[in-house]
Amino acid sequence: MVDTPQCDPLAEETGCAEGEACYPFVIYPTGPCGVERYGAWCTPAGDGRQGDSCARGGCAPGHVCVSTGEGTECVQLCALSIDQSLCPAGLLCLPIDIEGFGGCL
Amino acid sequence: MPVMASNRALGAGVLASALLVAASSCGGRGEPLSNKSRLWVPLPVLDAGSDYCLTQTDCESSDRCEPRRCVENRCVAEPVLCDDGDPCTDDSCNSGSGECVFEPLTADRDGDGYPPPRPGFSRLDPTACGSDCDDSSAQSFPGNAEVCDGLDNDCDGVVDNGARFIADPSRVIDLASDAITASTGGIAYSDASYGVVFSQQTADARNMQTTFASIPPDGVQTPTPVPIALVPNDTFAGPIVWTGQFFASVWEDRRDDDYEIYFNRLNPAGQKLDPDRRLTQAPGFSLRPSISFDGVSELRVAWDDRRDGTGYSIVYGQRLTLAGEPIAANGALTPMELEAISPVLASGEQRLGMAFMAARVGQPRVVAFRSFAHDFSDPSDIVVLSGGNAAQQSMVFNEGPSGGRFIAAWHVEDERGIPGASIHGTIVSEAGDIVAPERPLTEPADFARSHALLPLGDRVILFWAQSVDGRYDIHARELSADLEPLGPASRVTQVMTQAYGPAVAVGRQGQIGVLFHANVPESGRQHVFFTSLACAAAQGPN
Repeated sequence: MVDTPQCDPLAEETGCAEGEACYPFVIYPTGPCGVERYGAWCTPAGDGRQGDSCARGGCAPGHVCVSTGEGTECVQLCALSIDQSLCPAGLLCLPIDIEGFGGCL
Repeated sequence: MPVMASNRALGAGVLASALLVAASSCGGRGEPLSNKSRLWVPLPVLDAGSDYCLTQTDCESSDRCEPRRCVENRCVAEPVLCDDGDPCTDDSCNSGSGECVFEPLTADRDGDGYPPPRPGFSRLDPTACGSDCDDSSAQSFPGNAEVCDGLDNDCDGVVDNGARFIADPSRVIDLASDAITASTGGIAYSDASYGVVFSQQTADARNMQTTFASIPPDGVQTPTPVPIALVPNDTFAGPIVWTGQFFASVWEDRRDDDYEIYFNRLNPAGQKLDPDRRLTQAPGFSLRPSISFDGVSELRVAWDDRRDGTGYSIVYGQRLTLAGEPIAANGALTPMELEAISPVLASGEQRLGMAFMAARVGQPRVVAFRSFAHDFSDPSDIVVLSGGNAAQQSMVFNEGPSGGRFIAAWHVEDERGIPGASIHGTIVSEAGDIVAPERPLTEPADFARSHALLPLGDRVILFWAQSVDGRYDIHARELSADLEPLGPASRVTQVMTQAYGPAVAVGRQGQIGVLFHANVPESGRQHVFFTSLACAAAQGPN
């Protein structure tokens, strides 16, 4: 199930107010018959860029905090199944645990 | 019934020349009697705590290993001594029968007539009580003939002596053909098939599901995937090992509203042998598990989590019996003052090695190493293997003809996580001494990342992804046991684009199975694929 998103994290015009940015989220089921619910909402924008530690604050617009083999870091959001060149050279758009989104890893 | 009460009544340090007790024929044994009505029984002076007896019956013991005899009114212990003179048996006495039991310290589980060495002993050590180099396979034992089967048949420390491995990039099967997206986990080989684990999200299940597939040795049939973690929350596959009897796998699982480490045993078809076992109960995510089999009796798992409230992760470990039962509790394997993540375990001959990413606050990440006794005790000092900004380390134990060493590899990346041009590696002794300094293992490419090592004794095969002109492919290269190149790199993948993340295992026809992640050409979806390298030539009996 996908909640009606409040905004589009990958769009240039996300629909969020100034000072805010659009970030995807997932709500996990608490029972065996539930399903994961995905959505996106507007929250105050951080400034963490690709490779920055999440501990420094929130991630910049178009980025998301993920736990990688190097710790928690902000990575650029990308859409799976789309041209990989959207990620910086040398990185790949790989699955993260939010349906439909990938991270440049 | 012994007359212990009377003895105790004397009290320590109290001397008495005699103690009046009733003879057993009088009834009321042990009761002081009038000296007018009953016989006086003169008794010796007794030390406090000694056993007094009148008859052998008074010395009866339920422990048949500790029988006692009544000697001069004292119960004297005459324990059964069990010693068969064999240092390779555990000698004990059965308390119920009183018979000696002589259990071998190592058991020949694969039935080839050669038990493995005791844990922590080299098989070349005469006191190791065993010399089998692989007790999970009856095809490996000292003196056997070497054939091309991915095993060290003759236990000379070399797998498939002289064999060459040839890739066929056209032979590729999609293991996640129904998936919206998928990512790799691990691969191992049983006696008859590959067992692979990966994560996939299908249209039927909106979460990432840890999934198993059994692949026959020829690797040409598309298998039917079997979900392992049947929960509605995300689970991500981890590594898998074969123990000679079952696969053992660990994975990250969010069924508890928080990623925890789960474990199970699987038969070669992927059927679970037990209910899933949760290994962690930690606040915050528990991630990136690694599993190692000691070749004899235990599995070891390591992962990283943040249970200690430090704000960063450290590495924890858990021992498991081959029945999947935990031995003791989770234990910290790295110090609190060091951020430590992504552990990789490798079982050596005498020590258990662990490579991990480490960083102190404000310092760049490095690859670090420490070793333990096989029960996670006796940790070595932590040594740094890499320069700064290392990533995605892997490690194997390479048991060469002249002794075993750990080989670690990693790639480097800049502050944005962009990979460097080469895979780097080094060699570490079981005690944690760096045997060879860090060096590049591959020729420079645009980018190089995500790798796997396959130890063969006298050589190691490195698999990695390298990018040229915006396209990643998996490559392979043979290296000597000292990490010197033995030839040029060869391409393992060609059809799929953006292939990366190889995991490898050797099959019983000597073929090397390669699990990897790539884009499906038509749809652009990301799936998990399998290909293999054929064993081109094996040396005959040597």
